[in-house]
Amino acid sequence: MPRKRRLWVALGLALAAYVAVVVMVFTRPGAALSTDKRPVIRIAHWQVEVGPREAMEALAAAYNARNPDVRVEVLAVPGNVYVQWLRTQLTGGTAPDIIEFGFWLHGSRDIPARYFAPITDYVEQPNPYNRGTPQEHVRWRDTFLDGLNTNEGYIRDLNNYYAVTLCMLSMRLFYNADLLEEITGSREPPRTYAELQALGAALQGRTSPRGAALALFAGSNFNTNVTMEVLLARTALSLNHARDRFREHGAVTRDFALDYLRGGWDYRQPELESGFALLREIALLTRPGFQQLERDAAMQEFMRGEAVAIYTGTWDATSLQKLSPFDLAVAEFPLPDRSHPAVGAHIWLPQSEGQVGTAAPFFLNNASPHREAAIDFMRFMTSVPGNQIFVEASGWLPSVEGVEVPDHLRPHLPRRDGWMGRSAILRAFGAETSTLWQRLAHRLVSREGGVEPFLTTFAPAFADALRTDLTRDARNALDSIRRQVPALAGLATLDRLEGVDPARLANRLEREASQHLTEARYYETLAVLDKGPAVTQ
Amino acid sequence: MPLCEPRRWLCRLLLAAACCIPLRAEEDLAAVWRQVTAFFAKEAMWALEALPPTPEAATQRERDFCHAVILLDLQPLTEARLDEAENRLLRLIAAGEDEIAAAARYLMARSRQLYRQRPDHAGAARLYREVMAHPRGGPWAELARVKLALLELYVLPATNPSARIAAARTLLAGAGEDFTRRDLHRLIARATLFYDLDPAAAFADLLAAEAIGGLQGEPHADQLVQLTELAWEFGRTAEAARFYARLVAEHPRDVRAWGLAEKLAGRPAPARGRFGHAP
Repeated sequence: MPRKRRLWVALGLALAAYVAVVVMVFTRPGAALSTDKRPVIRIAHWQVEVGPREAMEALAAAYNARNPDVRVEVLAVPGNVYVQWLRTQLTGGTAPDIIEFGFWLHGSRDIPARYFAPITDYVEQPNPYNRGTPQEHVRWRDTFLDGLNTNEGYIRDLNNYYAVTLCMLSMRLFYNADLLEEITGSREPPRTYAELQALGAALQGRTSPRGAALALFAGSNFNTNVTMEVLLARTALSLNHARDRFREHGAVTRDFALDYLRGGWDYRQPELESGFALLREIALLTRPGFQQLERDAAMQEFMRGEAVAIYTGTWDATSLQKLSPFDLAVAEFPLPDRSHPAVGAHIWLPQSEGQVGTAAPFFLNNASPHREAAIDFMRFMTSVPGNQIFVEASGWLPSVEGVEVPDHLRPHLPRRDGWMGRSAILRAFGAETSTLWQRLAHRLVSREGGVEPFLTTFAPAFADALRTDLTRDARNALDSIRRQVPALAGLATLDRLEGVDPARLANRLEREASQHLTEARYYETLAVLDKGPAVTQ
Repeated sequence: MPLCEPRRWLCRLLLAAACCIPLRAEEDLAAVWRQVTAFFAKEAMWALEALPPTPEAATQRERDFCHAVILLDLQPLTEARLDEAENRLLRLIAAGEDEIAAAARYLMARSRQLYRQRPDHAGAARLYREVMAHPRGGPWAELARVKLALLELYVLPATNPSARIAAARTLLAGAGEDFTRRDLHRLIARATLFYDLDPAAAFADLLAAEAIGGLQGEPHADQLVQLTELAWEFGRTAEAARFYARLVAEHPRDVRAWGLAEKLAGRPAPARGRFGHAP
């Protein structure tokens, strides 16, 4: 074939492909030239792990089969680009109807107030998809295992319920059972902290088949930081209760942070000094240099048999089950008990994992053109039958009461009963204090480091970092308060124009009551930032 | 000359249409307000600007009020936009003494307190007092009373925290609605604990708030936990048990219930530190 003709053929094929793509894009359901006029509900999430991704598709398929007048489309967006992608979509007005979102996504605290719609009115009513189940007459929010009382489910600054959650998370130690048996002669994981320490000691001098030193914990910046965050919060539980100024059975994060600036506690408290000593013990049982490593590196270390255990969330459970070349054993992280020489005096057992709450929160886009249909899908995916589909396909724990938990997931069920602190320490107060910890943690966790070298640099710098975080927190609270002012004025005006609607009036009064409290907290923050311990004078 | 049949029908139609105009205008404006309540400020402004001109002064006044409120919600919120919103509100205040004028004063106060780069707390407090004294204050007067209490509790000059609490407490007397009294009691209780003043006083205020009722969700769960904890702190164990039972019944998912049960059973529990007047 002459060269010129080949070029024409190639050009023709390229053009045909282009036309085919254009036709597909413009004729897909919901697009401009589509003959399928059904509303399309788009739902975005970042759960691209093995299991939940398929589960989201299964949920959409089940819903589409039940509701032929609507189409649900699922968009799985990888976590590392999710915030940028979401921000672009929201700004451009092209965001999906239902959006997974979390406050821990950096630089995104403004998003709920600007782009998401409150769902309080909906969650106060029963979920119609629960008909025929024991949850039939229960208001929607009470069908969730934590009553939606999470940072995202109920946003305190916005005084409203905003999200429904899809699963429950817990943190667990996943052991390489083969390795465990080789070392201890048993496939049973350690049940006490002393047994865990003994296992760590038994690893001295052992190497993996590839010749790498065997570590007790697979390490990465993420996994090890989470381990430390959880452990320090647990040793600080008594401190959190001691500083419960408002008598709410533990000080919530903002009140705990303000109490620091008021001189209520510092890092020289025995609970925290001994807690940091415990973190150092854990770090020394982890591969050196873990702070420079990402999550994937920890997973690979564990899969290669170079670490006996990995501490991670149930979000990794399905991937670990499917990908690990050895049997897994799963157990809670055994906390030190009262006999531990350093932290024993401050430990309260049992401790609840309830504060973890339900997770994978999904929000309603304020600009959704199909709000009722979107709410309907949110109801379906968090109904007893819908959540059951999710659990079976994902291998994750349910968020909804009455959903059957498969036997293999039972070890992952979080412990609800027990003492609970209401604030973490290391990364809970905001970006600045979190960065300070990241920057200085090596002074605690490196072989040549220690509690004292760490605290001599960390403690003096903490107050300034905390002030920055609280200033930002106050700014966000002010934005939230402002956001409510016109909406509340609107509700009052509608009652004047149309006559009093009891439901609308109740909604307004509830939101106003919460807004008063948000304003009180806002002014408390400003007062403490201004006067510190002298705020009581 | 008697009207012929078609003309008579035409007149009837025109009359009926004329009667419908105010109703229709109100319905259209209500739709705009609904956009505002759903946080759709831009769309609300478009819808407001698309309304047909009205010869009715009262209808126009309603629209002007709506316009000013939407301006407070439009992004970006510049000082120039706030100037425009406040000017509109000022014109509404100057032009009449109806409920819109009271609402306009309230929103002026909110603007000066919360929206400006340099808040004018004294100016906001003065406006709140004007709204409270307004003969047509309605819901705005109730709100103004609580917002003034917040300023007294945390912001306005005072000799000490006790004086702040006392100033806020004076506002209880004139409250016209139960929910206003409830919210005032709650805020006074919170500020009392924030300033480490007498928790017995905070307990009394929370009891008064709970007696009025009407709270839902997490704020109510928090209040029941506080009442349980404070009742326990003051040795009023039967009351503590009663509030705990209500927490379990009304907020069955609250994970704090386990710890409270341990405490009420007299088993060892993490101790609370001392805060000022704590017993």
